[in-house]
Amino acid sequence: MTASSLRLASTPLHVREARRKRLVYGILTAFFVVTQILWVGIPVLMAILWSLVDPQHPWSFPQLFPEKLSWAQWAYVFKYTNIVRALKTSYTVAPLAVILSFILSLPTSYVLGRKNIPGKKVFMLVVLLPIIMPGMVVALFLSRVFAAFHLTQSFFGLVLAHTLMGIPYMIRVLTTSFEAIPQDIIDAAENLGANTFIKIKDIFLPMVRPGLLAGMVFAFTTSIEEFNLTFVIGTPTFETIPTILYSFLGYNFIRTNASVVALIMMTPNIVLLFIVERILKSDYLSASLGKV
Amino acid sequence: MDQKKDVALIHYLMILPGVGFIVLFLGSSILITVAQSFGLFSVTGTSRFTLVNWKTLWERETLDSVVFSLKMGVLSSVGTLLFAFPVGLFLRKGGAGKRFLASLIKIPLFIPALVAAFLILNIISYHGIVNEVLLGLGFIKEPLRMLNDKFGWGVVAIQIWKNLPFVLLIVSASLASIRDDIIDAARNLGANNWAILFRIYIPLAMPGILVSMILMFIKAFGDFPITSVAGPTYPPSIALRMRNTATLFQEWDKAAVMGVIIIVTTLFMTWLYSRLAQAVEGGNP
Amino acid sequence: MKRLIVAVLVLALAAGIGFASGVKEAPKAAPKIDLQTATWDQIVAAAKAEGEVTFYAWYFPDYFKEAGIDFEKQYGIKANVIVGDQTANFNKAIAEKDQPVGTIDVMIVGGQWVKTTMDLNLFYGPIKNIVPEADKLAPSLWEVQEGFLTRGFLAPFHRNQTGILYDPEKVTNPPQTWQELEAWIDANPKKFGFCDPSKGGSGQSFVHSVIAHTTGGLDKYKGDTEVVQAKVANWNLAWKWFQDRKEKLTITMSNNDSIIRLNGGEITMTVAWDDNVSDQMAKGNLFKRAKMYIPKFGLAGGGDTMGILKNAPHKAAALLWIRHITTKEQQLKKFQMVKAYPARTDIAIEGTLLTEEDRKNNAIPWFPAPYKAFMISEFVKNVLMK
Repeated sequence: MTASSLRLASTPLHVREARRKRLVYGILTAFFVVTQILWVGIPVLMAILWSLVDPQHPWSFPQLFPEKLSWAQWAYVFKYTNIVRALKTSYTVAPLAVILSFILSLPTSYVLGRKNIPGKKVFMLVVLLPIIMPGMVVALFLSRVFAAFHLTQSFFGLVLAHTLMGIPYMIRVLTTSFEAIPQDIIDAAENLGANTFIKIKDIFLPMVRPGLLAGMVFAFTTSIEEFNLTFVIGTPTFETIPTILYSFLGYNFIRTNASVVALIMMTPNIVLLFIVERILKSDYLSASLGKV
Repeated sequence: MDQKKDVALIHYLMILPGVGFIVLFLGSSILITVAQSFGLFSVTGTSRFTLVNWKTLWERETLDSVVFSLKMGVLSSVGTLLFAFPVGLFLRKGGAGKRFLASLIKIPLFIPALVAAFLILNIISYHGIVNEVLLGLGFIKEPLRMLNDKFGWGVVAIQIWKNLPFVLLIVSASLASIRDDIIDAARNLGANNWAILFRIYIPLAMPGILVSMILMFIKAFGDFPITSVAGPTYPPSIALRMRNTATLFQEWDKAAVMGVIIIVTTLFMTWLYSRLAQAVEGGNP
Repeated sequence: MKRLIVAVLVLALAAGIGFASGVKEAPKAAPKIDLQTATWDQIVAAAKAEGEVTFYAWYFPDYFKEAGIDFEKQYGIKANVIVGDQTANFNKAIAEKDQPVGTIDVMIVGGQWVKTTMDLNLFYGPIKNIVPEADKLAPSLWEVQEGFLTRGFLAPFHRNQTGILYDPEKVTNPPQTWQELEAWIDANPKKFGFCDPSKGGSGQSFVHSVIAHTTGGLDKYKGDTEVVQAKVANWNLAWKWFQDRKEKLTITMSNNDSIIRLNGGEITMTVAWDDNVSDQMAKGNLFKRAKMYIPKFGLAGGGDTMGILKNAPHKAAALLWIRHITTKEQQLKKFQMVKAYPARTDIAIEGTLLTEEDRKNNAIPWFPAPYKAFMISEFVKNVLMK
């Protein structure tokens, strides 16, 4: 017998068990980290490399990496597109759309999640319609509804449009969160004499917070990416990032410029996500793991 | 939930901000699409009732497109969930390191679909990383032609890559609402990991699983940007076929029929998913 | 947490209000004149009174931005240049077509959208009789674009041409005649690419040439306004040509996808648009050694035009914009910046991707538009579906 196995034999069983578990756990985590970095890292790295290709030194087979890197593609986008204006519009519309869809969704989701009203199944389908509508119908017909309400070329119209396209995610995800609240907690609170306000503040909102966060992220990304409707009712008064992205991506596909715009679009979102998660995570995890 | 119906005016007033808002804006768009499929209020300015456009239901191209899109919708929703659920379980609890990972994994959420498509295509292209690595390791002699495969696996792969964080967010929210004391209780009663997975995690996370699958299906079924660059040369997705019908062949009314097909099929599949989820939940009390 | 939400809400609302109040401007009242009978000077004066023009394009953001700055300098009229996406631009124009006053003044028109938009009666016209020096712009493009009779409604500003693009390191003797092309494809399976004709004009051009060579030329279709079944009865020969070579051809997903795959080494020869190729080359997406020519068997070309919307809010300024883009200086500037072939026939340019000789001898016109639509749907049925 070797020294190490001797030592193993002398350690109590549950300690060994815990060690083995920790090892498995460590391997799993390492594996996860590696796949994660490959999974997200390689495509993002590709985008970064394409955005840095020097116009005079094309990146082509058989070069594994671009011959020469430069900021020329970035300079091009900033010089010849209205990207700064678009960034401003996108990042003012998106938060407003998120807030509006939250306000509109909250009562709806509460009823759909906790009350058994007649026609509930139909309503659950109806709220999905904005994301089911084919892009062409949105561009050609939904835009006319906005025109009829005099909501074209207006900032408020744009916020409403983005709210409309993002609200299905918000409603459905929030509804699920409301459904998941155990009735016994609510009963207990009621027995203790909690009024509606306290119920909302101390039970519903903390319990639905993970769902709310997901819904907000979806409403936000939908707003940032919305193209069909924005283009028809917003331009030329307003341009958002996708209206610029599509000029390099749609019919006239130019990888270098598209990479630049995509990175410009992604970076603030990712930074925002990290910040929001940092703020919310600490209390949302504890709130939702049953320690209410 | 109790089976009695809650019929109160207040509840209908409360759903008005959400449902009413959507109906107000979408009602007429849907009506006009349906009307156009019967030749009324056409984009071209004519208005004459006809059923002739609905003949496209029997065209092989339309059927092929619907079947293809259904395939993409189902495979993408199931595939994304299969990736996201274990990750969600893994990330359910954890320290700062995992929190960082959880943020990292969400990056694709912010990459527009078309950009995601081009990035993945880059990797699986004729001289992309995958082929070069396989060539370098000596597994293959000729690069594989993985672009635009006949089945549409490329589309599914891109959908999974792009939407994994989307599903993960919803599933994580559901998993987070499962209380630890339930799991501890099950463990104390001698339940093993599989039993906990199938008897606690999956049934209790079912509402989240269902919603994520429905939303994913809608995204993948109605997709046209990803299919148009990564899909097979034939058939086009139904959304792509709808666009081509209108803009390449100027058959606007026939395109409206396809619009109706998209809406109806999606609603039907959503209903079907809900029924399936109910059945699964029912089977695992 | 709560304070944060409140702060964000207040800030966003304030920003929103500031934003919204900043944009609304009262439209300037322009003197009403009949553009069809007015003199050019009157139109210029009316344009200045209108004070702005909104132009929609989907390519060359660099050139059009510069042209807009020049326009503002020269006339004092603000040019809003929106570079969007092809489909989106036309969707917007169609969505707004029933409004008395739209938001687009003038837009680029090209591809399958020529027929779509002309059929929907979107444009104001004819304008050929109004724009100065109209006769200096590609005369055939004033009449027919993409096989569709445009009757002077759409002003040519840009010409493009499909040709064969190849990698001279891998192809030393590119095929010229039809037989040479067939032989080359047989000898180099999967190395010749063209795009799915339902996804891009370069693919349409190639299928068009295949039809010409397998079914007896293009002359018989001249002047037809709808598909004559007797004339397309033998198109099965063209489809057979494709089916026989299906395993040897690479079908790509867009005009640009063809160029990308050539750059990536998957294919070594492809059909492409010359303006696309110059653009991709200038931006580092395609190796500089690539060469392009129009083979003797002939490939189609065309060009893009600008149309003024019927409900344009600034029609006179739109006319002036067209005039501005088609002046000698601007046409030359466009060529220098983006290497795109000008629509003007009276300027000599050097350093084009395709030689003048090739253009003169080997470029062919499209057959009428209805045949083109028919060709695409039949290609799907008989080649892609098989």
